[in-house]
Amino acid sequence: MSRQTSLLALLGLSIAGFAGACGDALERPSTAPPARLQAPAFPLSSVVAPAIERLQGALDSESSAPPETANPDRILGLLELLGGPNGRMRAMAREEAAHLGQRCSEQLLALIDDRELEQARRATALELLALVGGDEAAELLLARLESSSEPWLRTHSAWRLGELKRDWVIPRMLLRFKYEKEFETVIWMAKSLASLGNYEGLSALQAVADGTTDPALLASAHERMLEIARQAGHEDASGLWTAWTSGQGELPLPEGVGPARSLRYQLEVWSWIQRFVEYQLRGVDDARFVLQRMGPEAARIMGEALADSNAYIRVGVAQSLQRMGPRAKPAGPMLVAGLADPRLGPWAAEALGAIGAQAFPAGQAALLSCLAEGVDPEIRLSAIRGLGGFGAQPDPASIAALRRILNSASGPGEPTGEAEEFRQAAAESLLALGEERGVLQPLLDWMISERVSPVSSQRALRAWLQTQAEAPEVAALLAGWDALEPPAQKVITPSQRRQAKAAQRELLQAALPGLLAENQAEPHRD
Amino acid sequence: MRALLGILFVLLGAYFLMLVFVPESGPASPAMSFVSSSQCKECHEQAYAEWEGSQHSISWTNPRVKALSNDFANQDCIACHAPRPVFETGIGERVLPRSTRRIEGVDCLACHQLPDGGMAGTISDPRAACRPVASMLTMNLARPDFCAACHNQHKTVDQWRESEWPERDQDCMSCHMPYRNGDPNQGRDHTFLGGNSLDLLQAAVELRGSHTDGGWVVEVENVGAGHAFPTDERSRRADVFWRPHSETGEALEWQHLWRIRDPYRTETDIPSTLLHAHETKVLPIEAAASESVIDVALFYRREPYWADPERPDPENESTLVHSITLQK
Repeated sequence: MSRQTSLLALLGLSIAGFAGACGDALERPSTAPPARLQAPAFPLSSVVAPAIERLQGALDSESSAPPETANPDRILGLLELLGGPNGRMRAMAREEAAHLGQRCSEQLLALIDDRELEQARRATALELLALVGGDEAAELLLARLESSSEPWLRTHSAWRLGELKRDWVIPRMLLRFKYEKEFETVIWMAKSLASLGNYEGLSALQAVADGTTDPALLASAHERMLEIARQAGHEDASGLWTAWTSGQGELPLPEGVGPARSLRYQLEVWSWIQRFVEYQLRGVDDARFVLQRMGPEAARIMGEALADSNAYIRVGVAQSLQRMGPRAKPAGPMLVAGLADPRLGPWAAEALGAIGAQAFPAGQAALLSCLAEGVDPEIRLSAIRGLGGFGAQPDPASIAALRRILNSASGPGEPTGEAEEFRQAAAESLLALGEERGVLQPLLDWMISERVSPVSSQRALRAWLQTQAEAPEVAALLAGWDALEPPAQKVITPSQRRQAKAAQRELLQAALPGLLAENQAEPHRD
Repeated sequence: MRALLGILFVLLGAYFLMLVFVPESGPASPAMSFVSSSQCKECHEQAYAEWEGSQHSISWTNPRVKALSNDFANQDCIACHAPRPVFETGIGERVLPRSTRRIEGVDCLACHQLPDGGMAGTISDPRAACRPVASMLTMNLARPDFCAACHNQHKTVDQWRESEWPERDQDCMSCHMPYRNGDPNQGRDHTFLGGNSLDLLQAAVELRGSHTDGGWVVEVENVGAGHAFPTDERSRRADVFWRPHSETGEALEWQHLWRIRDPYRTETDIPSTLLHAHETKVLPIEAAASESVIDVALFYRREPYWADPERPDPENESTLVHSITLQK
C-alpha cells in the first residue's frame, strides 16, 4: 500500500472515529461530567522525528564528495573582472563563475567579512559567491543575513539569496521578518522570497510602504510589489495576495524552483515543526511565525504532523494552521480528525474556522457536531468560535445552533461564567456570519463586562463595523471608534483603558438606532 | 533488641502517618468534576479569598498584561496566563493553553488538578469530593520545578538554581507562599506575593552610596531575591535615579543613572543588565562630581516604558523601593 493510500485510509477511519465520538457525546446526558483527556480519533505515534531522520538519510545519500578548492589567483582574477567597468568582461566573469564547480567560499568569505576593505569590493565577493552557487553559498549568505551587524551586507545577502534558487532557505528568511529592522533589507528579502515561490513578503512590503517617510524607500517598496505581482502573472500586488492567501488553487512555483519542493525544504519544514517541543516559548513562537507564512505544500506536511504523539507539536501545528488561514486547507481532513483529541481539539476547531468555508467546506459540519452538550467544553467553545469563520457560506443549521446557545440561560448548578462565555462566543460568531439581529446589544454589554473577557466582543464589533464601512455613516463611526482606541505601546492606566472602552461602547450604542432599528426591538436574555 | 526497636519505630511511624493522612470515617462525598475555581470556594474559603486577591487570579484580566501582550494577540502568553493543569503535561514541562474560563487566569485547577480529576492537596482523602492526594503535593506541587512550568519561561527558576539559595534551603515557597502567620499548622498563603509587595522588593535589594576621591559611587546589591532582580524579561525593570540639591537645600529634578532589565527577544541591540542573586552593581555618578549633597533612589516598575521617555517621572510612574541622601 502506498504512503498516500495509507494516509487516506487512516483519515477515513479517523473521521469515522470522530463522528462516532461526537455521536456518543450527542447522546450523553447533559448532567454527566464532560469527558476529559479522551483518545484522539486517529492513532498517535512519533511522526516528526522519523520524518526528519528519513529525509536526513536521503540527503546524506545524495551528497557527493566536496569539489577541489579553486586556485586563489583564479578567484582574484574573476573578482577583478566582475568588479571592473567593462560590461562584456563582467558578463564573461559571471559565465565562468557559474561553471566554476570548485570551492572558493573560504577565500570569498574572508573578503566579504573584511571591514577594512572597500564596500564595493566586498559586495563583488558576495556576488561571486552567489554566482558560484550551491548549498554552501546559500548557507553562508543566510548566516550573514541572520547575524551581520552591517545593514548593507544583510541587504546584499537577501538579494543574492534569491538568485541561488535554493528553496530550503525560505523558512529562515521568513523568520527575519520578525527581527529585521532595516527596511531596505526587508524589501530585498520579499523580492528573493517571491522568486522562490513564497509571497508572504508582500505584506512586509506594504508595511514598509506604510511605515516609511523616505520617498525612495516608498517607491522601491511599490516597485517591488508590482514587479513580484507581474512575475507571478498578476496585474497588481493585491491580486497576487488574494491568490496567495485565499487557498483557491495553488500558485505554480517560479521558473528555476521545483517542479516540487526539494527534500531539504521538506526537512526544514519538519525541523521547524520539531521546535514546538522546546520548553522556551521563544523558539515555539519563532516556529509558529515561520510555519504560518509558508505555502500550502508546508500545510500538507503540517497536517501529517497533527498525528504526532507529542501534544506540543499537535497544538503548535494547529495554531500555525489557524494563522495560515485558507491556505492551510490541505491540512483540513486531519484537523477534522483531530477535533476529538482534547488537547488538539480546541485549536483544530479554531483552525478550521480560520480556513473557512470556501477553502474547506467540510469543516463547518464537523464544527457543528462539536456544539452538542457533553462535548469537552474546551472543544465546544472553540467550535463555537470557529463557526464564526464561515461567513462566506453560513449554514442555516450553524446559525440556528449558535442562536440556541446565545439564548440559553445558565442552568442550575452550572459553573459560574461558563454559560455566559459560551453565549458570548456564540454572539460573536453570529455577528461574524452577518447575523446582527439580537446580537449587537449583548455584545455591547459584554464589552464592558467583568464576568467574561471583553476584548473578543470589542474585536467582533469592530470587525463588523469594518464590513459595513462602505456606508459613509459607518465609515465615520469606525473612524470615531478607532480614534478612541489608546495608541499601541502607549502605557495607560486601567481606568483609562476602561474609559476608552466605555466611550467606544457609548459611541456605537448611540448610533445603533440609526443603523439597525430592529436590534433595539429585541432585547437579549440574561 | 536493636531489631525490635526498629520494628517499634516503623510501627509508630506508620501510625503517625495514618493519623495525618487517613481521613476520619464518614460518608464519602460523590466525586465531582471540577471545571472552575469557583467550585473550590465552598470548602477552601480562605485559600480562595487569598487567590482571588492575587496576581494569579488576574493573570488574564490584568490591564498591564493585556497592554504588553496586545490583548493576547501574542499567543505565546496564553499558555501561562490561562494554563491547563500543570499535572496534565508534567512537572517541569511547559503548560498548554486553556480555551475556556480564561478570565480565571492561573486558577486553582492549574496547580492542583490531577489528570484523573483528583487534586493534589495537603491530605489524602478518597472520600472527599475533590479526591485529594497528599503525596502529589509534597512530592510535586511544592517543588520549584512545578513553578518552572511557567516561571522559567523567563529563566527565574534557573536563576534560583544558580544562586546560593538552594543550598540555604530557601525555595520559591519560602518567599512567595510562606506559612500563614509563620505557622505551618495554618497552611500556605495563596496570595503569591512578589514584585507587587513593597516588603519583598525592599528585602530583595540594598542601596548604598559613598563619596571617595573619585567622586560619588552608588552600589545596588541583590541581597534577598532568590533570583535576579528584577526577574522576568522585558516587562519588569528597576531604575536608579539621582538628584542634586539646590543651594537652598531643595531637591532638584531626578536624573536617570542606570536601568536594570532583561530586554525582550526582539530588542537585540539592548544588553541584559539584570542584577543576579548575590550580585552587586557599582555605579559611579560622574555628573554629580561637584555636588555636595545628592539623593539616590531605586524605583521599580512592572512595565518597561515611561509615559514620556523624554521626561520620565519615576515618583509617579514607579514604586519607590529605596531612597538615600548622601552628603560629602
